[in-house]
Amino acid sequence: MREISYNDAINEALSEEMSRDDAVFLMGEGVHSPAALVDRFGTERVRTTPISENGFGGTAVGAAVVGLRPVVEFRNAAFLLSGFDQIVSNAAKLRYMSGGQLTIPVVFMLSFSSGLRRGAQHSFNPLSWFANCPGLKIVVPSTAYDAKGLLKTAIRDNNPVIYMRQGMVATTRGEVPRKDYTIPFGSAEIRREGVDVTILATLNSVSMSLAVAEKLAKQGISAEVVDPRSLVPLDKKKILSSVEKTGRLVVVDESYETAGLASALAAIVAEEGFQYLKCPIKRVSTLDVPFPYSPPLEDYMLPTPEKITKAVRETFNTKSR
Amino acid sequence: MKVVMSSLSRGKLLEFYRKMLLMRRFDEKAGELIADGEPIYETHPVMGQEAVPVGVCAHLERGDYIVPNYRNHGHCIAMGMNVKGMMAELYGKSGGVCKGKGGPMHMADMSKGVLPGIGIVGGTIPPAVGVALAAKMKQTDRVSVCFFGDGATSIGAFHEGLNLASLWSLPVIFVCENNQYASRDPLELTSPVKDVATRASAYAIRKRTAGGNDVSEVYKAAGESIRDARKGKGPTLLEFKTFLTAPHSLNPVMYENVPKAELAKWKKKDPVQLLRGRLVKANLLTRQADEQLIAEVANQIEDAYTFARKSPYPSPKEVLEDLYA
Ligand SMILES: Cc1ncc(C[n+]2csc(CCOP(=O)(O)OP(=O)(O)O)c2C)c(N)n1
Ligand SMILES: [Mg+2]
Repeated sequence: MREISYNDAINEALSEEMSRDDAVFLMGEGVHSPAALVDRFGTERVRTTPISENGFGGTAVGAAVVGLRPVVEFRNAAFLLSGFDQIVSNAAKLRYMSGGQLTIPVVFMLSFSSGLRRGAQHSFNPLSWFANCPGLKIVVPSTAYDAKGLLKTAIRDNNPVIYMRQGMVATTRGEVPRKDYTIPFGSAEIRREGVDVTILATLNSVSMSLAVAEKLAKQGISAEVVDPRSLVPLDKKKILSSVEKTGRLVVVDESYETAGLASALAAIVAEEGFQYLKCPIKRVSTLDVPFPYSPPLEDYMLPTPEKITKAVRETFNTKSR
Repeated sequence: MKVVMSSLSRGKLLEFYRKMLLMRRFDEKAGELIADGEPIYETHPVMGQEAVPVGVCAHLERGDYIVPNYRNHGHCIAMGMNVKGMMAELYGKSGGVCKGKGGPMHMADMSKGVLPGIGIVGGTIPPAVGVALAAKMKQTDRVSVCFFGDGATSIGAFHEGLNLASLWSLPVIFVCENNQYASRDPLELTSPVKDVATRASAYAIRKRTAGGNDVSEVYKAAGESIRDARKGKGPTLLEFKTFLTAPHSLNPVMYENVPKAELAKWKKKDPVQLLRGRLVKANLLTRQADEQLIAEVANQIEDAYTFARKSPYPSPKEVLEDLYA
């Protein structure tokens, strides 16, 4: 099959969805470049905004309430902090507080950079914050194939969706069909089958965990790698059945250790799948400090193959039940 | 003044008067119920400002939308929302307009063009810009109106919203209900700009300032702004000078500390009394008809109260409904 870049997969999804449905349009800073989408759809539907995240984030909410389907390009998730009010207080809540009278079909596209030496203020991962905003859906595409399929589903969904990319992942390439396809939310993907331990990983941690699993295989440990693909809704069933099979769980996610996503995912399995577990769950998260600029410092705080390997090994070293 | 009065039909003026009476009685009743210890919580009255929502919303048609703030009873009644559903919403009952999920601040009725009231200061502004963007992109002549107070002119959303609306020449009317105070803070303590409308020049948009207690004056200023928006002439920042003659919030009772003399001065310009006086003077309303109207409105509010009392609370399980579409 044809291989394209992650970003091209996104542009293909945007282009296909904008041709399919006149209500879909793109807005954000710098969206006029590259010019392909503007050339095809014009500046009305590929709308460059001033630097006003709260202004255009909220504008998208209003437009969505009355029937358009905006896709908002925020680029760096850190910039969205200036627009947090409109996402949290309006996008996530208006439908609920109206008693279900309206829908808000809007996609907020964000990326976060870690490991790219961008320093404290440009490396910000708000996934666990958004996971605390009921009313939002959250997708975490880790391959070019998912980037296209999940974006199409997000655009067609009638709820606000946080579409989270990661700098490292966005530079990858992968097989992407030319045809129209969607990926349902709440369907985790088994990236690699295994029987001894489940590694539940998101975004950049997926490919890292796959590489670790290959190495472990040579040492006789068969790891299963599960990518949830959407965090809200979450495919609990597939996650639990993987743990039922393997009896061991390592959760790898780049949100912070304290009250991060790995904690939340581990808690679900501890509560609903305790009977399957042979040993305590291990988490590999980001250490609780702002992102330092210096490469060895940043590398030390993030999940690494070594940390994942160590965590997996520990699940075998702790005395099994 | 005469000119304005005569441009409005008797029927229209009486309709305005009835709506203003309804708003007044709604707030009075809410205050009475709260004072009696009824389970009604954070509720913001509109007393003294009723002319603004009435005069503005009178120009709106089907397909237009408003984005109210938390001081929303006036906006809701002006748009023709049912006071039964509103009263039940104050209680969080299942007969409420939002089935109890919104409460006093967030009442909504999309079928009447009313988005949920927004509780975050300035939060009404960007969504109204978006509603107007949709109207423009769909090539309709629909407009959107957002309401906010003087305090909201200091928050980023106001500046970002005006800038965007001007840049894209959108059919949105930014209505500032300048009641001179934000909770307990007088505008001069928080803003270097006394006339809110002055802010418009920074964004190259049209501005209008008018008295907010005379419904005819409100109607006229809003009419011009809304017509401009419908004709594709872009947004207006429309400032109405008015005054809140009740506390900021009824429950908990907050900030009754405005200077007594200032309050007394504004009470003399009470919008309901002002309109009543004019109608009587112009022989458009007899004392008898006035009494009858007041009694009808009082009955309507009593019926709403009875409805709200009788309406059951939602079943607790409903808490999980209405989140996702
Ligand atoms: C962002 C934000 N900050 C503070 C508050 C608390 N608050 C609620 S109403 C209010 C006063 C707002 O005054 P103004 O905008 O003049 O409107 P008014 O209440 O006078 O109609 C404040 C400070 C809030 N709701 N939102
Ligand atoms: Mg005020």
